[in-house]
Amino acid sequence: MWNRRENETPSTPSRREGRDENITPSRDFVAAPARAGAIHNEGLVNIGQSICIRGELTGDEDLTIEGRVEGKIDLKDHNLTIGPKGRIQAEIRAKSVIVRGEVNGNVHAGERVELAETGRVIGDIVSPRIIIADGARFKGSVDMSGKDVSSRAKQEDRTTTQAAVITDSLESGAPRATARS
Amino acid sequence: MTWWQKMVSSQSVSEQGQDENVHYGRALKELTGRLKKVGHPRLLDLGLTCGANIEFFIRLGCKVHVDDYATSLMGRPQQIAAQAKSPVSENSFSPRKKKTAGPLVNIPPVDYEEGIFQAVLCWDLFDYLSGPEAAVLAAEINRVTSAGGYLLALFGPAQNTSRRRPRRFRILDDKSVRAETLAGPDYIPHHLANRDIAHLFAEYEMGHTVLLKDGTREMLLRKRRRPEQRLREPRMVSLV
Repeated sequence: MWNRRENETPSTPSRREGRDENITPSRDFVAAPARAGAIHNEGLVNIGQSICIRGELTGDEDLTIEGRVEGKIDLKDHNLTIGPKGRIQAEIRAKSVIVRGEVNGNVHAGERVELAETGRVIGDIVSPRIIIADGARFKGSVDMSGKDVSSRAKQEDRTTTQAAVITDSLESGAPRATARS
Repeated sequence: MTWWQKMVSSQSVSEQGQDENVHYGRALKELTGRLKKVGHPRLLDLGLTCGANIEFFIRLGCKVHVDDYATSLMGRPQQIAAQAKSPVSENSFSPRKKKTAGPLVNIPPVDYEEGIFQAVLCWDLFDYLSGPEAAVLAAEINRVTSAGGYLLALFGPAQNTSRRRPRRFRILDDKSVRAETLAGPDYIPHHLANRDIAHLFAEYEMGHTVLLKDGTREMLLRKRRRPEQRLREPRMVSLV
């Protein structure tokens, strides 16, 4: 009997790790895409591919957009992720913005802007931290002076000086260099 | 370890230490040195988007504008690119020549106001362009560059016309730039002779020209001030 268990094919490493950490399978299933998106999985709202919004989009929670938005997006102190199929023609204001799709408009972030490999931005980026992956397309100016940071970000950064970090590879994870102003 | 093993190991270390794709030029250092003297200069990078380059110039205090112009050029219809392979007469490089409305010239405009940039980086963009296209792009760069502004450009070796893949230039520090070959369709580079470059940038003066190991010419050019400006400045002083 013991031998038979040893001969069984083991489950995937991630699930095994999940079990070791006392995480239930259902929770593991939910958490997997969130880890890939590098954003919090709690309170995440999706706008699907078939949805098109015209006008002003405001909210007090994290948001993922896979559809189309035209107008204005204001998430104040929350994270915005634009999925690979997301098409945005709007001015964006959020705490952090991850762009994997297309954005046509200015992006203002209190903390950081990530432009992934598949991301494309035509517009100005204002953020204290900007991450641009190789292969990303960008047309516009970069302002890292931090004039447009939200009040929350200002509070967080009060103790430290503004740090400007740009990495060239999101896959590598570690920032390549850090500039302080 | 025998003398032979020692020699082999030392050779392999030296070979590993040298990256053939890293260019050690002087133009970038010269440019950074001059930009430091300008208060918050505006810089336009026309090359492939590279985070390291943006970071480098932001640290210098520049207001950086990025225009993924190289990608736009690569995305042109193949027909245009094929036509561009044909050799072009010398006269077509004249910057005074107005934009010729023809099938050969099909490059996107540089969408910025006149004379707002103190520096423009165009890397090896001119290698992608035929004579008339190069003239149009040079005129556009000339338009957006302020008087006294700088242009950093790389021109491939004139003898080498073999097909090659597009390259992205990543600034490692103010002395070295790494050329990264990208996956994509091959193209036959259009290399300009020095006299053609002088024709293209007649309104510029040569700052630095460095011949790199692989034959690439690294050039830093400075746009001349307009004659009216030069004349007005002393007159104003004399009136005061």
